[in-house]
Amino acid sequence: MARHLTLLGLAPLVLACTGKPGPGDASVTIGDVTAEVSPVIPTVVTVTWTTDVASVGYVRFGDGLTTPTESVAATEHSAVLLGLHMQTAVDYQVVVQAEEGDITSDTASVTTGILPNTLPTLTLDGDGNDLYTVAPILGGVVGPAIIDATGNFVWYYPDTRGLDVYRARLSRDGTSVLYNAGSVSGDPAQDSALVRVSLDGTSEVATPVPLLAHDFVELPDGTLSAIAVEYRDFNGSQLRGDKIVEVAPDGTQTDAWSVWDCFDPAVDVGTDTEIGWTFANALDYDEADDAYYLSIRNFSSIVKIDRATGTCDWVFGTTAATITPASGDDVFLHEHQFEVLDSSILVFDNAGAGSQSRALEYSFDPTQPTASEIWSFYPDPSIFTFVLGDVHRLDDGDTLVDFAVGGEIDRVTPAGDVTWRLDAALGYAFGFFEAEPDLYVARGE
Amino acid sequence: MNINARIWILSALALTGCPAKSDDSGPPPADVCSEGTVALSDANNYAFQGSLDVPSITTVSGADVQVCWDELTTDIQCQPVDPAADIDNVGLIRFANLSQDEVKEGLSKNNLNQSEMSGYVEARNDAGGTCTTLSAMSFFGTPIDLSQEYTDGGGTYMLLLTTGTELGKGARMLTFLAPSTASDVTRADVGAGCGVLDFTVDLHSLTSLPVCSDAPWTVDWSALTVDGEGNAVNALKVDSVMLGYYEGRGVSDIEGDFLDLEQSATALYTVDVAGGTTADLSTATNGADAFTGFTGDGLWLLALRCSSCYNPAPIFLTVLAPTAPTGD
Repeated sequence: MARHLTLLGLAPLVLACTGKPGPGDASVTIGDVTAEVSPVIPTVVTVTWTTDVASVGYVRFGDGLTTPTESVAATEHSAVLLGLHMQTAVDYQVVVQAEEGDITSDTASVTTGILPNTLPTLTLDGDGNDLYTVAPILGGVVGPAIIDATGNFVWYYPDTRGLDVYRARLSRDGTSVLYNAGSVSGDPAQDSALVRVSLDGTSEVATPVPLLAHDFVELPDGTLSAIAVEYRDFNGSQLRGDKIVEVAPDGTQTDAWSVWDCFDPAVDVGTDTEIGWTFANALDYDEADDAYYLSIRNFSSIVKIDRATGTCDWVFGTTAATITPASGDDVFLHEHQFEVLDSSILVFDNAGAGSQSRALEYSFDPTQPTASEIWSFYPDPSIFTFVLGDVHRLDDGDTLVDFAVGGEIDRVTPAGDVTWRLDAALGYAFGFFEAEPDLYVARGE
Repeated sequence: MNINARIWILSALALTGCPAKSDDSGPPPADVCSEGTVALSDANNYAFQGSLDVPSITTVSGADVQVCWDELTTDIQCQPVDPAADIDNVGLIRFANLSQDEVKEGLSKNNLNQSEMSGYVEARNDAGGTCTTLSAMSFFGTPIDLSQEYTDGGGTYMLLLTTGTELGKGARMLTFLAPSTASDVTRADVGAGCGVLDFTVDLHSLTSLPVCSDAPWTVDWSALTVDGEGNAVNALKVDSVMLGYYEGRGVSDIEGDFLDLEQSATALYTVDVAGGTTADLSTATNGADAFTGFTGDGLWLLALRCSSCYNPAPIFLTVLAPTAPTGD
């Protein structure tokens, strides 16, 4: 009740709204419908309402959007409206499920607020994408953001730690955005953290994880697994390697794996050793195999790690490789993100073609010693992504290619046609990204 | 003071002799003091034509170069620079597919995209020195292989020397580096910045903007379509509004004090804008006191600034025509 009263006090709009059909006819009556623009994220609106009996409901809003139906019957309700543009009037209506059918409130309107003018100007070319892009913005500002298919910011949370943010994800439970705050410029940051911020931006929980590197994943049970720098003595000096740290939902941190578990710095020597031995830079998780995939930049290799045993099942790439690109095929160099598919592997290749980054796909069978290149994409004009970079294969066969510090994301058909191109103004970059068909991710599970 | 503040001074300095076209605007609208909205239009905006004569230094290709800026005693807006104390960051930007002229044009029009930049590395000047090397530069911990990335034909390379370390802000000097296989030069001396920026400003052709001398004043720039250079304007990028007052002085007088316009102002007020297309001048301050009204017989100027835009010229600059409310 206290929370409800607080919201009422803050709400600019309070509707004395009654469900339909009339109170005398309906089994549920809707009251006290309010809408409040988030004070932190001005494109997010929280709608609250009450019912005289415990019930579940949802909110219709905007152009055919809906929030998920509540999972627990109650008399006090709230729903968060996502996917909205700034400075936009949004119609909304509460829908409550009753025995006799849906009961609805009157339609009302709320106007979203203004996003910071420090966000980059985005230029959109093409309409061939219908997905939301969840990615950090780097450069002039730093923080996780969500951009819709029309090239508009619909969510942005400024991170004020003075660190960088390389990865943002919607949490599996649908309540939050997760991101990492760290630094891989020079020495890694001791005060790096994994951050969970509620979708309305009013709650932030930061879990300190020292020396975070570029990437993290969320496991099905809510555990966060992240790459962190690990120093060990080698030939009398501290050698910079990497490990995977798991942060359980209760906050317990465990070193789950180390590059020293599978590799030997005396044997497995990559490139650019002046910045570290391995310089791991991208992490994925395979739920079916309970395995991690880790990109090791200085090896120009991707490794599959059995999470239960810590053994390395295979290494694809160059240094320490058990599987290499087939003779004559393109070889990736200093890759970042990748995607292991059913029978192929997509790789964002930063430097294998010199100062021209690209996406490469190899037919991939872990039982075979080589993998053949079956697809590639080079943007026109060329882009050199010297840091970060990401790829995702979509259900229809298209590929989203994130040129990251190149400030461009392309949706590409199998034939190589670009159907959607998002460009950021000079001075701004994207981090690793996720493509989401629905911001209410819990609804999709 | 950031680059936009400095260019605001420069722009206002170009108020050469010709008074603003206040007479052409006719009597102020009858409701100028009743609505409280100061609506900006393209007709009120100044005209700015600028070009950057960015120097170019030819160096060795594919090898390290020492970059020194001890001769950088003035910035591109002719403001004094202490080379050791004021330069906090030296960045090297590469544009793979653009010529030097195209880069200059893109900076001027503020329409360069990040994808046109094919590399960026930087070196912080934490020690207060006046030299660094290309090999000392890195970004996100990743250095560049000069033999591969700094080469003749590899693109257009531009040094960006800044006060502060926030990307895109605080630029004091720009200099192209041109690696050439025919050169054995391994040192690049960045010179003084005064003279790099060449421009003309026309404030006499604008329609001066009537404002009520008394509050309220909500400045609204949502109707602006072009900036002072005629480029499409992104009104949402405005991050401050500036008001300058010059007691007993006109546009012609200001011309001679162009470089000291900010210092010579009788009063200078600023409103920071976090977003949107309006600002309340009642919240403007000079650092200590709030703006209370348009008083005096001097000149009032209003500017909209964008500190994250690469073109340092104000998006909007106009001459105000304060009008006392009619007593009734």
